[in-house]
Amino acid sequence: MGNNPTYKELEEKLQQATQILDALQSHKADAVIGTDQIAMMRLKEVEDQLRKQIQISSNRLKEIESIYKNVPVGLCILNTDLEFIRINNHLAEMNGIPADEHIGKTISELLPNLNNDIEAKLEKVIKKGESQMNVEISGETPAQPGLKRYWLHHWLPLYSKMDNKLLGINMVIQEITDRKKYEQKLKKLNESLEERVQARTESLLSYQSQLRSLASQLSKAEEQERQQLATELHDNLGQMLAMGKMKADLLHNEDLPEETISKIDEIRDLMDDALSYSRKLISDLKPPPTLKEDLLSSMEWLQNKMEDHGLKVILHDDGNSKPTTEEIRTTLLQAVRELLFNVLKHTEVKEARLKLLRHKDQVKIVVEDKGEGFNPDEIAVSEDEGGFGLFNVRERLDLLGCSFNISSEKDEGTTITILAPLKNGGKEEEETEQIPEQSLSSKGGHKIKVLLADDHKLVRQGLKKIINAENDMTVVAEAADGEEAIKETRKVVPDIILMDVNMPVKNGIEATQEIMKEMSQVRVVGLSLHDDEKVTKSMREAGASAYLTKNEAFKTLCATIRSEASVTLKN
Amino acid sequence: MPGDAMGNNTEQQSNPDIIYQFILFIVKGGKNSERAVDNLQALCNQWLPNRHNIKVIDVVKEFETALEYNIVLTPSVVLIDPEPQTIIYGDLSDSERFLNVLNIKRNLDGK
Repeated sequence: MGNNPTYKELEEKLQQATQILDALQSHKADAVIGTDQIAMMRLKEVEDQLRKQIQISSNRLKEIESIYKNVPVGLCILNTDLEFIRINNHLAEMNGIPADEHIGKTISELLPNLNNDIEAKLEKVIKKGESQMNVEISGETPAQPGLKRYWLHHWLPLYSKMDNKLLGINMVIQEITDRKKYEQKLKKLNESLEERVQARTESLLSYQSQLRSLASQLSKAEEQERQQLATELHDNLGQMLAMGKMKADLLHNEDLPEETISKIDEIRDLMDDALSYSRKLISDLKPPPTLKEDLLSSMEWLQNKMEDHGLKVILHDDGNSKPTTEEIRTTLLQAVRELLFNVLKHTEVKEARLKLLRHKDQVKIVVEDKGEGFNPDEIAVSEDEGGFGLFNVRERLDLLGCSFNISSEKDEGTTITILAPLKNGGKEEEETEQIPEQSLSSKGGHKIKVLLADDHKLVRQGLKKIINAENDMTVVAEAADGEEAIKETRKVVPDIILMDVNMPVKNGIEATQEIMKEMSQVRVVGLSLHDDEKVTKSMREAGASAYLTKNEAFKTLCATIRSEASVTLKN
Repeated sequence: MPGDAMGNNTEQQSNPDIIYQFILFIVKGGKNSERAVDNLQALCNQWLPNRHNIKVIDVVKEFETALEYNIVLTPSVVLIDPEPQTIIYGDLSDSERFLNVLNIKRNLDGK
């Protein structure tokens, strides 16, 4: 044999090689054995698996490709140089540039009319490797030149699976131009709606204020009418009755037959009744001038009035000062009068409580009754007298910045609270100094000089006749109003002034105050139709040293003048 | 020798003139190798009942043995005895070929 193999040996080797090839080709080998290692072979399996995998992958790829192409959302991938490496049809259509023309170009090259520094922002995504969602981009594209469009971008960094290296940015883009348009329309609609609501509110407010002003005017007109009526009664009927009474009094003193005197007395009694009836009527119609002074006395006056009408008013005052403006005082008085009349009209009770309290910089007035109570809402809209009155009161108080609160329940009674602002936020005003009573300097032996201040000529004539009939006194001047009284006083410097309280231009109280400031030696005797403590008090406070009512004037006039003059003489 | 053998024992054979000694080289877990084990067993049971001895070697574990018998791939079966030593490559699914290569039919017929 030696080095040369025999034919048989060669044949065997060939056979073996064939077998090996055969086994390999038919995939019937598991491993190939080399001199120092074994190579495992699973070719068939691997190939089959690979084929399967490739099939699955390619199917998947097709699905994804189809989705990518047809999804109605813009999709693209940019590399790290921000060049397009992939783009779907939808985005290409949105941009108005064929898809393949995008590849290898940047956004700024293709779409120079996009705003919002899109590339600067994308560079940040590349730098940080963090996704950024909901970036709003706007601008124009060749698809619709001249039209500003809006998009919502979502940027997701794309990493390689092999080495986790950043490949670029996956972009998802939604067009929101229509949405924006609707948003803007909606915004405009909202604005116009707001405007309309505003206009409507304004017109409502204006109606409300008109209503208030009407209510206020109505209330004022009502008040004026009362005043006018009261003035008419006082100025004409009242004065005529007073004069009639005075004349009857004069007749009574004349030397006349007994029978005539007794008839005259009957007339005098009738005149007295008529006078007191007219006084009551006048005082019901208009509050006396003292009410301008303070709230408590106004309410005290009202308390008396209500008692005349059959309602007992239990008045409680906390003792604190409650400076208020005249307007508020008047309104409060009207309001409380209205409320108390309501108690009379709508309840069976004959008693009500009225509290005057100082509450910080406000005055708090509480009107309580233990009546049946009512539903405040019903009465607020009711058109009967009470309801309208209450509504009126409410409107007027509202107008002056007062608050009004009704609390009422069936069978529980009613509590009404009014809060009204104090004058100057409640700061105390300087007390007007009391003018010390000073004596007048009447020269002995001289007649007492009297000034008559009354707006009624008839009254002045009557009084003049009485005074001049006396030996020791004489009327030196007459005045028809407060202002004239002051002027005449300066001119003639009388010893005594007979001062009517109710006069035009300036009333007797104001005129007295001014005169006393200038000429304290003059003595003032107040004169009025009213037989009222408060009026007396006001006149006295103003500086009057005596006070007479007109119907008693005849009896005591001369005596009073003498006694006042004598004070001066004594001094 | 018999202690090392796998498969049927030859001791109780009536004609124990020739005991076929095989070494089957495989890779454990290989599909072809598993098929080769099954096929060889079946062939021996059919054609050489009680007259065969099979030794299975995992080449991963006994690499040196594979080199010793010049094995280049698995599965391979080596007929050690009777001479001449013969190698068959593959999973032994072609039974005709197995019988031909090893002259088994002829030998048996010759008996």
